[in-house]
Amino acid sequence: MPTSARNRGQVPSHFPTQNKGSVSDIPSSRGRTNRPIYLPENRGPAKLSLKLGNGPNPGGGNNNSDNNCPNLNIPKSKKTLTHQSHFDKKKKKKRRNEHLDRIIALHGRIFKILRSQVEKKTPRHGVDMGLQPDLGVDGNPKLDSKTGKPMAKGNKENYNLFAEKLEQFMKTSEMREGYFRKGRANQQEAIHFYDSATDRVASFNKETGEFISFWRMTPEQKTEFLDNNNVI
Amino acid sequence: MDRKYLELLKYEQALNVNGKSLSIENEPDYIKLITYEINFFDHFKWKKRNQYFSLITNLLEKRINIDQYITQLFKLENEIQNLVEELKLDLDKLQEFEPNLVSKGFSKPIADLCSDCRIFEPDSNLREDYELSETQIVNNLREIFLQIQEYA
Repeated sequence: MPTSARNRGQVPSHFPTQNKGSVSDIPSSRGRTNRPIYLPENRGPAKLSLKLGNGPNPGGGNNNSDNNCPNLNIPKSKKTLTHQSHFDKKKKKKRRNEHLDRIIALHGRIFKILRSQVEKKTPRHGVDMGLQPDLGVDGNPKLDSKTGKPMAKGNKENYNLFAEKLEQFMKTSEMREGYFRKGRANQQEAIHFYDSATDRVASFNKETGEFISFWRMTPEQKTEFLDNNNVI
Repeated sequence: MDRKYLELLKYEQALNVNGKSLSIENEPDYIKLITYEINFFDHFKWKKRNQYFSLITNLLEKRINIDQYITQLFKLENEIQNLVEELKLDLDKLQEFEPNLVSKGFSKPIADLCSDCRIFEPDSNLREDYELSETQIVNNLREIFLQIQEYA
C-alpha cells in the first residue's frame, strides 16, 4: 500500500475499528511491549484462548466473524494429518484407480501393470518410453530436478500411453528371469523385459507379477544384466 | 587403448549408421565393448573421487539434505557420462587413453549409490517394498562409503 506523509500513522480505512469490534491490550508472554489485538465484537477478552487452533472454536462465536484478526487466522494447511488418515488417503487412491490396472498374460505368466505404479513412473521414465517431454515456457524440455533428465507430463493421457506402450514393449522384447537389486537388502526375484537395441528394461516382481519399473540402463547395469540377468 | 576395443567401437558405429545394433547382431562382442567402456567410467569417477567423498560426508554430517545429495550425485554422474561420450568421439585421444589401473571397479559402488537414489521414496505411505526411505539410503551409504574409501 503506498504511504504518504499525509496518511502515515493513520489507521487504514479497511482496518477494523471499535465500531465493528474492540481493541484490547493483552500482556505479551515474550516480554515485548503490549500490542493492541483486535477482538471481534461478539467475543469478549475473557474468552480469548491463546491455545489457538486446538479444539473447535473455544470462543463459541460465529466462525466467520474473526477472519479480520491476523492472530486468529490458522492456515488450514497446518492441520496435522494422522498416520491413519494418510493410510486411508493412499488406500482410497489405489481403489479409485483399480479399474485402470492392466492384466497381461504373456509367456505363460500373468503380469499386472498397476495404475498407481504407472502414475508414479510416467513423469521420470515416460520420455524413455517414447512420450513427448514436457516443455517449459522457454520451449525447452523440463528437466528432472534430481537426475537432470527430461520429464514427461503426469496426466491421464500420458498415463494411458505409458501403460499401452509398456504392454507393447513387453510383447516385442526379450524376457529374462533374474533379480531386481541383486545383492542388496531389498533384492527381489524378477522377470525382466529387455530391448537390446535401446538398452531399455521393464522389471516385474516374479512372485506377484506386478510392474516395478521401466528405464534405460546405465553401462554398469548393462554389464551385470547381460552377464547375469540381474539389475543392480 | 586396446586395439580390440577400437575395432569394436568402429564396428558398432558402422552398424548404427545402417540402423543396426551391435547388441542384436553380436551380443558377446557388445558385452566386450561395454566392459571396456566400464573402464572409462571407473577412471573418470575415480578421478573425481574426492567430490564423491565430500558429497557423502556432507550428507552423513548433515551439511546437506537428501534432496541436495541426490541432485549433486546425479549432476556428477551426468558430467562423467559427458566425459566418456566426448572421449568416444575423439578416436585420436581414445587411442592414447589408458585408464588408471587403481580405478578398476570404482564405478560399481558408485552405481549402487545411484541405484539407491533412483528408488528413494520419502513418503512412507507411498513406499513400495523395493523402494527405500531416507534412513535406509543413509545406512546403505555408510556401507558403500567403506568400499569407496579403499580407493582413497
